[in-house]
Amino acid sequence: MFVSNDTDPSMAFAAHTTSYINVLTLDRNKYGDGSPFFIDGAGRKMLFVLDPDHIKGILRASKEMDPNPFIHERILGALMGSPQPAVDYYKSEGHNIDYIQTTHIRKHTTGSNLGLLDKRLFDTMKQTVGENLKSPGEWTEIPDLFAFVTQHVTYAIATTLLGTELVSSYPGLIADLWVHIEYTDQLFMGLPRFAIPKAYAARDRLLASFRAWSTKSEELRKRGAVNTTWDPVAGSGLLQEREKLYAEMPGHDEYARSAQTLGLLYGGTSLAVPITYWYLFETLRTPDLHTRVLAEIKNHVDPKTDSYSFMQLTTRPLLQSLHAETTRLYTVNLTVREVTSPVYAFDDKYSIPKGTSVFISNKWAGMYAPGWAKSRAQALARPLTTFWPERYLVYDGNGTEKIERFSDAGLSGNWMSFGGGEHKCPGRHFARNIGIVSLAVLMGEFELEVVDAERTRRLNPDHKKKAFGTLFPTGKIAARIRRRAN
Amino acid sequence: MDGNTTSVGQMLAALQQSVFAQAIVAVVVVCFCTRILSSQWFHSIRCSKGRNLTPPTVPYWIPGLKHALSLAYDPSTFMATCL
Repeated sequence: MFVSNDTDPSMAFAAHTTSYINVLTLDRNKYGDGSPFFIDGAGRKMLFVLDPDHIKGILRASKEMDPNPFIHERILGALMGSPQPAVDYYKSEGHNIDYIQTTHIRKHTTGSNLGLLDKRLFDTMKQTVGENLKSPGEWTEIPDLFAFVTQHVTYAIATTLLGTELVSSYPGLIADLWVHIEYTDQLFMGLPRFAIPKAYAARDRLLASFRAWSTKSEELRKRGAVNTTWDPVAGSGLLQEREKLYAEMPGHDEYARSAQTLGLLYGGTSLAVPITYWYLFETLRTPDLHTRVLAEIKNHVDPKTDSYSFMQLTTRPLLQSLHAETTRLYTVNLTVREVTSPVYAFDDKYSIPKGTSVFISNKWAGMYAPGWAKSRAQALARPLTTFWPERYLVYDGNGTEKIERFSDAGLSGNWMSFGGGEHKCPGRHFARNIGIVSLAVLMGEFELEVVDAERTRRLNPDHKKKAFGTLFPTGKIAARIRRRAN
Repeated sequence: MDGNTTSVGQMLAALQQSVFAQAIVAVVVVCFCTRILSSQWFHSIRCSKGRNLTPPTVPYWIPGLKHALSLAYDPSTFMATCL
């Protein structure tokens, strides 16, 4: 009954047999043809979506698709270790705390407030990188560039957000934070303490230090003894205001507040730091790109502040496209929504009931060629599994008068490393600027070279191996650095 | 040919006498049948021209648990193999 009458029976048998062999073997990537499908872990069902039209529909349907049930239960509760009363408060009716904290982060990571964060980040990174260098003009060897970038960028972000005292008094903060980040999937799936003791121990130490910091910071605030813009003990204005906001919120004792602080630090580093590494590394190992990026940086030196015009740098088409391409290829995270309406229809064929958890793997959506072909076919001039910094550039005019500009118009279903729609990551501008500031420090203030650029090609990660998690190079990449001569 | 027939006969005789072997064979048969049936369900929904369908579940080997072991062992890699 599976063989049509006009088919050669022997060929049909062979095809039929092959299809069953495929069914019985675990050949890779055979379900992602664009139709939604479920993965079912003993009754816990997850729907995966790949088609950009479906993704756009999900991101637009903020009333029918809500990220907050997943965030409250799995992220705040299971991953960050928030006490149940705080989680219950988020899940209760009659408040708009999700909106308040989102707009609060947005206020502190845009405009002039973003400029203050950029400046603090720049000064901190410039200082810590310079501290460990040999005498001027002499190269200092870096045995592992990924570890080097992770250390300096995480330190600068943590100091910018939390102040210097906490970070310097807790030498294991960066190591513990990255252990916690690496165990993200096991923690949010709720694996017990005996199964992942290292992850729980790291999180316990982080939360304990944040509790002590929160108590000390609160005392200083109540006495009016803090600099409300940025304070070495109480941290940034963003953190100070968040602490005050949560202190007045039901269910938010110092344990809940420490989980919120961990959430903010996690949000500020887990994607931004690896993106910064890949952003920098791809630039360093490609001579033409290196020349063009360095020219952009040098053209935006601000002599008044002895720094750079970061706001202008972030609007440069090449840097915007470089950032977008890095996040598309090297950000391996999930966007999650839960259906809150009785039924949600993707199209005429598929619909899903209330309570369904919907997952979008941003990297896989970014590598789904049929989706790009529908949205912007010219961006497929180079394979989606390769890094192409000009992928997001479009050209106006004709002949020799072409003017390049960055455009992500129509790509909301193809490139969504920072989510999308009403719930797009409120700190995405800060994440973007972390990359730009790091480039300005490590390329503008210092000279950084990959020792053997050709060899590094063999250390590229497999882009089809992970649905989420940090993407590491497959081996240590040696580099060297020295202070740039004026 | 006779030798093959004899060895198959010996295996069947051993199977009849060992409860453990019978259990192993039963588990293997159940898993294979589950895989074939769940694949059939998956592809029948994919190919269907119906309306308001619930999307299909990726084929699995173990009834009840479905993909739980793969998700517990290495969720990121397992999801990537499906995408």
